[in-house]
Amino acid sequence: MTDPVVLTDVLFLLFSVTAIVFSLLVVVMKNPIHSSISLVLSFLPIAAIYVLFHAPFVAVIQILVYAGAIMVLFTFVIMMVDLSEKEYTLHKGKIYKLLSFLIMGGFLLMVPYMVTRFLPETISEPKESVVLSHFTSKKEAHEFGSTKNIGKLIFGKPVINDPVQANDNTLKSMQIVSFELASILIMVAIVGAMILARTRKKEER
Amino acid sequence: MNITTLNGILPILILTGVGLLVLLVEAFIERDRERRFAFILSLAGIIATLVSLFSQLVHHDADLLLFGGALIVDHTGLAFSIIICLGALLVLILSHRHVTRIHRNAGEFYSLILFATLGMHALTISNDMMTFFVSLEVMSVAVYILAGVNRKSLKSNESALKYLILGAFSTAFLLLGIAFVYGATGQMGFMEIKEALLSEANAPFQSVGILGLILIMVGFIFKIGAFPFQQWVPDVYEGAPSIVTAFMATCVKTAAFAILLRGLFTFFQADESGFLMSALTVITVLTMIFGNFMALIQSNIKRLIAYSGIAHTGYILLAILAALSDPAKPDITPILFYLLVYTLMTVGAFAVLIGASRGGEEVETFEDIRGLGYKHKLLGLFMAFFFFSLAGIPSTAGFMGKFFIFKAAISKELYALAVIGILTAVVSVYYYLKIVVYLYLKEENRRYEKYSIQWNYLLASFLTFLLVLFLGIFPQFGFKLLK
Amino acid sequence: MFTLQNSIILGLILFSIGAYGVLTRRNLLVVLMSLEIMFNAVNLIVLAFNYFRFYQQGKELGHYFVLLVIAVAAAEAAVGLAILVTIYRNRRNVDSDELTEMKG
Repeated sequence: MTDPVVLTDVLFLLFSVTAIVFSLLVVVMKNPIHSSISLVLSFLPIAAIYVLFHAPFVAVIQILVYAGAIMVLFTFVIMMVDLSEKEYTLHKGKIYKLLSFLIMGGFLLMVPYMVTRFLPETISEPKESVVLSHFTSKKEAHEFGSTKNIGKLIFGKPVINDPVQANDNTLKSMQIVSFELASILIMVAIVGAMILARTRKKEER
Repeated sequence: MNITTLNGILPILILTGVGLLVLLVEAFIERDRERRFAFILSLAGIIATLVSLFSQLVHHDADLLLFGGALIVDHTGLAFSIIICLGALLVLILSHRHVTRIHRNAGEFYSLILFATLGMHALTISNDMMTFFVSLEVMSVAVYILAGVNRKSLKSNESALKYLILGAFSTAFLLLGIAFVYGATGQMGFMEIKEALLSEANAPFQSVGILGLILIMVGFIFKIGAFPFQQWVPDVYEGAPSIVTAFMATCVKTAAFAILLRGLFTFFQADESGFLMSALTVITVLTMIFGNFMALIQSNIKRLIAYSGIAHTGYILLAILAALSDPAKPDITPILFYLLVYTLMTVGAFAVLIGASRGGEEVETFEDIRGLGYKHKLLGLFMAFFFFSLAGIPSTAGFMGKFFIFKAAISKELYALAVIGILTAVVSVYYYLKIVVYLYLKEENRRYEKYSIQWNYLLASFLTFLLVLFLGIFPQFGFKLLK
Repeated sequence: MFTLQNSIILGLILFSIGAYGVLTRRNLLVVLMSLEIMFNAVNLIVLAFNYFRFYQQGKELGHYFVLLVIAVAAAEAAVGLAILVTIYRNRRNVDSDELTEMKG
């Protein structure tokens, strides 16, 4: 039997290397279609790392939203915009490019320094025995990051047969405001995308 | 749902409801009546919001925490929201009739303005990282769309895309900052984060938290358009339709300052190294100098206003520094007063600029306004007045605003900053006066036809004119209102 | 290997790659994709902190935050792509090769 700790190490290494490689490919590839495919391929290992972080619900959403929706959106636009005709580009000067190289290089060099300096001791994975001692039951520990728990986080603890109490719990929840605002945000985005991208027969001249 | 909570979120509810209604108007009412109906509806919505905000401010006795502390209805937030709603109201009045020139469906435009205002209000009263971030995005996304609302103009599209890309880029830094702060403290509420950063138990992670705060600051400096990240401002302001530029220059900036102020007042004590303060000082100086000197060499009026807007950002930062140097009893009235006056002056200037544009062409260069003072006497007078006020000529509200800021800076012994501020303000007189000179510059052998402009431009500019005049002569009324 | 430091280093590397793409690539579609990479890197860092530091406390705030970031990223991508399509339509009409209307 493999030691579970070693297994997570190997998996983490594997997924992070693939994530980095595919992200690099997104940035480097000449053809936008290749970029968009690399984008999806870089999202998959990241979702897998989320699972290692005990965040299964987020991992699923990551795949559904990014690989399912955003990727489709990108591919659709690539098909629509017919890139063979012209390059759709933003004008950028040479000095600008050099500057950004310097900034990014500096940032990358700073990364290990920052992390080792700012995070004093190595923090490794929480041991299962330690974790279990903090939770009241094993079931509760395994439910970490589940849909149920996140729902509780947003809407407060559910109360059966007492709507007043349930309402009160929701009103005490800090997360409900941002949740509702996010729904408004998505509506604004839908309206905006419709305003900007639709065509009318009359307008086409 | 109890009545206090309901009262606290009433502005948000009104804005959401009216925004949705205005969107629906298009579906049910025929085109000819749609525009007027949508206009009246959204006007009523904004006025109702203003009334609700005022009543909250009047009956305000203690800070109200809603939803477990996610929202804080306090005096500062309400005052900022009132300034924002006032700006939005003026922009709405301005956009009547004009809007169909840049976008076919008036209702969509109005609803986006309402949703952006909603985001701004939520931003000013937000009290935790997530509410703050999402409301910031509601505001930003609505404004990205507004910047590109003139679909047929390539310039408008490009400014929208540029704004979106750079805005999202800065948001990413902001998010990285929030991630570090969360990692250091495990909290999202502002108050909880502050406590955790100051507590002993979290000492090993304190530096991570500070790093996060600095990254959040970087995101903010971008949003307010201060020095190292100001390059997008003129491009976006120039490309966007004038009416949207007026909205961006006033309301968006006010909202960003509101949350910046809240963040700084909450967190800067947690930063024991004093890095945030010294960085802010450097940024203030450079913003004032850069904005004013770049404005000197502009030939496009919208770009000029953009650069001068950067300079005004510098003055407000100066007022913030003055307020921060006395954390026990911070005096933020100079900031509020300046923002109020700046909003009025800028919207007024844009009202005249939009009113003066003929045949769908927007006023852009100095040549376009040559002799405007002869073509339409009242318009020329208003415009001259607004630019005098922006320049800070005595007896205008702009002067009073600058005066209070420099007074605050001097009383807090920030002499060097105050001197730089005054010197750059003197420089700014030159380019503002240049516009006024062009207004009354006559070409030889040419007669100027008089022309009429529509009532709504006159109304908006007249309202702002009155307010700016009033605040210039009796600034204490403004102070009383905001105190 | 599977430590908080390494997870954050991974996140920061991804963030830098994304930022590099935004700053240097000229193709607007790829710029938007690079923005998505940056948002993802942030999500990774949040979840790493959440797991390594707050798992014992049973705290899932980070998960919820990541969900919000995903929603925001999707909204921004949708609006960005819509603007791109508009530019494409206008460009097809005016027939210019590059966005030179405004300086860098």
